Amino acid sequence: MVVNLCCRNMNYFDNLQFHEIINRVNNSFVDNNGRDIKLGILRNITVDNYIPLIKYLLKKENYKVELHQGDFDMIFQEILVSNSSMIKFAPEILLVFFYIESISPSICNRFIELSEQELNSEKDQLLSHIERLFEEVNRNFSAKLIFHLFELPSNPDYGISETQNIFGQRQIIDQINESIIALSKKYKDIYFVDLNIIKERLGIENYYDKRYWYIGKAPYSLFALKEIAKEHFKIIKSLDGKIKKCLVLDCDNTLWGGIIGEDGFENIKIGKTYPGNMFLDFQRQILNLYNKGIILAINSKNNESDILEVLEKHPDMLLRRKHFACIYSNWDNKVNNIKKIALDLNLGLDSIVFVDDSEFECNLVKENLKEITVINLPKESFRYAEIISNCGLFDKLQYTNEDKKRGELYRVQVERKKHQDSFTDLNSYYKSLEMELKIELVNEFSISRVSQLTQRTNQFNLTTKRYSVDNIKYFMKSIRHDVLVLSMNDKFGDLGIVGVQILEYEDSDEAYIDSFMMSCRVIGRGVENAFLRAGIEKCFKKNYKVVLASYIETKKNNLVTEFYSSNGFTLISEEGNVKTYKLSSLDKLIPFENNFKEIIKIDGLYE
Amino acid sequence: MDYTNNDLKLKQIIANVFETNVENINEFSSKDTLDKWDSIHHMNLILALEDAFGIQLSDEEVVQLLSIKLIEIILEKKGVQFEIL
Repeated sequence: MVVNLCCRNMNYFDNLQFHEIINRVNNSFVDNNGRDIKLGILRNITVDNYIPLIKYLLKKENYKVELHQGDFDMIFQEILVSNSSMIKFAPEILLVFFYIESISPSICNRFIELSEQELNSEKDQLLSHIERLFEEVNRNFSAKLIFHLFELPSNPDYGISETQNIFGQRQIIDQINESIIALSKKYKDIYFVDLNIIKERLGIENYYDKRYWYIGKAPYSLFALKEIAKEHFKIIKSLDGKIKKCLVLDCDNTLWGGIIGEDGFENIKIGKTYPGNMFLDFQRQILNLYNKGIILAINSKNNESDILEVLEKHPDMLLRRKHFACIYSNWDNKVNNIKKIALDLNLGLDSIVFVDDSEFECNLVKENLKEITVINLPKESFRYAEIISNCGLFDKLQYTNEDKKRGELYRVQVERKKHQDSFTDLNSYYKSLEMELKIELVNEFSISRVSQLTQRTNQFNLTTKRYSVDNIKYFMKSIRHDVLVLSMNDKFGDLGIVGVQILEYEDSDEAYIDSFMMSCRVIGRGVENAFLRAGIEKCFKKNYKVVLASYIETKKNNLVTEFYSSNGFTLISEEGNVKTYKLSSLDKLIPFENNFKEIIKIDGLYE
Repeated sequence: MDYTNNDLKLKQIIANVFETNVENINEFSSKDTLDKWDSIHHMNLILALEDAFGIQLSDEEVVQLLSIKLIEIILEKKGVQFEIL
């Protein structure tokens, strides 16, 4: 019997059996109040048994899922014919199960018969098919496309000769995959899943189910389908900005082996040799996350001085004091510590992951803080590193330079907070920060960070519209839009890009604030009011007579309910969760408290 | 979920896969008595049985399992014990 190797770590399917998953999908989650998501599936194979799996993952994440499956082997009809069921369905995410054996049987099954020339023409034909697919999806859908790279044969037709040959079967398919990625750059919103990685993780015996390939053109085993669903789910969550931002770590038997308070500084297990190397590898994975922009924090039952001594002085530690934004090492319970960490870092509990080896602590946190994701490390320390690298909780589709600096930024942020506590008067505190603001239009260098802010920002976000890099590029070129970017620094350091507003100009004399958001790092310093003014000034300088703005209420943005009214806007309509405001002259905008050292508006902003 | 015995477990699996209540499943349940039992749901049934009982069915068995009685006969050969439904 096969063992499900991949799922043992992060249990995406909660140890449920397949029939239980089907049952949950059909009968639970009826009161989901998350957002609607429309998922379209195009396929040239049977994937019906994949459907309950992806539905389960999405519904568990509180999405209301609507799913439409295109007819079997009708991929091109579905994307080309203007009244096709898929075009009518208008999915937000389009998944394509394009199985190479069905689209190009000659490369897969008649490889040996083909001459080099025939192979090349087969390859070109396949690529032009794929390009057509990308083109038509871009043209006829506003969907994000998830496409599988083709699977390499595990038993290539030429056997041992395959590896000696320049035109091996695997090489050809590899080249096709590379070309697909390259040609996708011409189109927008295309994301790839490399099924070969999943196949490698599971092994082909566990990956394919040949019985159902012959019975009903369904090639994948249940294990493979679960893994594929997981990959899709990770991409969808990442597109939606639902990513974890902070990793809170226990210390004893987590970051190192042994108990510092009992075993002592010299005897804890961390280093290049067994057993310390298991913990060192674990730390290396955590350091990878830090370098990808995940904030680290410590939550440990210990004397703080013991923990600091290890972080600062132990010769074999990879993680150091500077990697942790905050450290709570005390005898208080871990639930309270996590609450304080969330407060210090200004993060929602749902963006925090807590890791501990103690089942007791994990359960305590799970029970008291439902929104937190908890990883209970197993007894076997040799699994630690793999658990972190395979958890998928922090996966993102794109990384920016901001990500590399984020850990440092948050650590300094906590210092700022301590500094703030020493002031009683807020304005003198703000002045003491010596804040410098820089406001400019989006450019090549800031596009990805701007897109990322639209995807990450939940609290100080007036409309919570999520935009991809391609969307921002479009706004940048469009004469009907301006994207204003705010970056700032203060005496503690550079905060990078912390605010985005997107202005949309109507044909009439109205301008509209499509989006306005601020990074949670700078909330509560009055920066937003200065930034808003810059946008409003731009609209009036462009001779628009009225600026409209809306507040779309979500579960997380209550912070900004009064933002427009407190700045002098008038409420003109209210429908459902959308409030619309207007400002008919610059004079009506309430002046902001100028506690800034300098506000720089880069050339071009007011042209 | 807790199953007192394999008979009940099997009924529950069939009910879940064919989207009905376990009360509607009896010893005579088959492809002919359950509306949802089409080829697609049949595939889900096979995967669900293998997953729940930790067994593997051959291609020949896969196409034979068309009633609860047949399922029991084949599963018993794989060492899954049933009482009488």
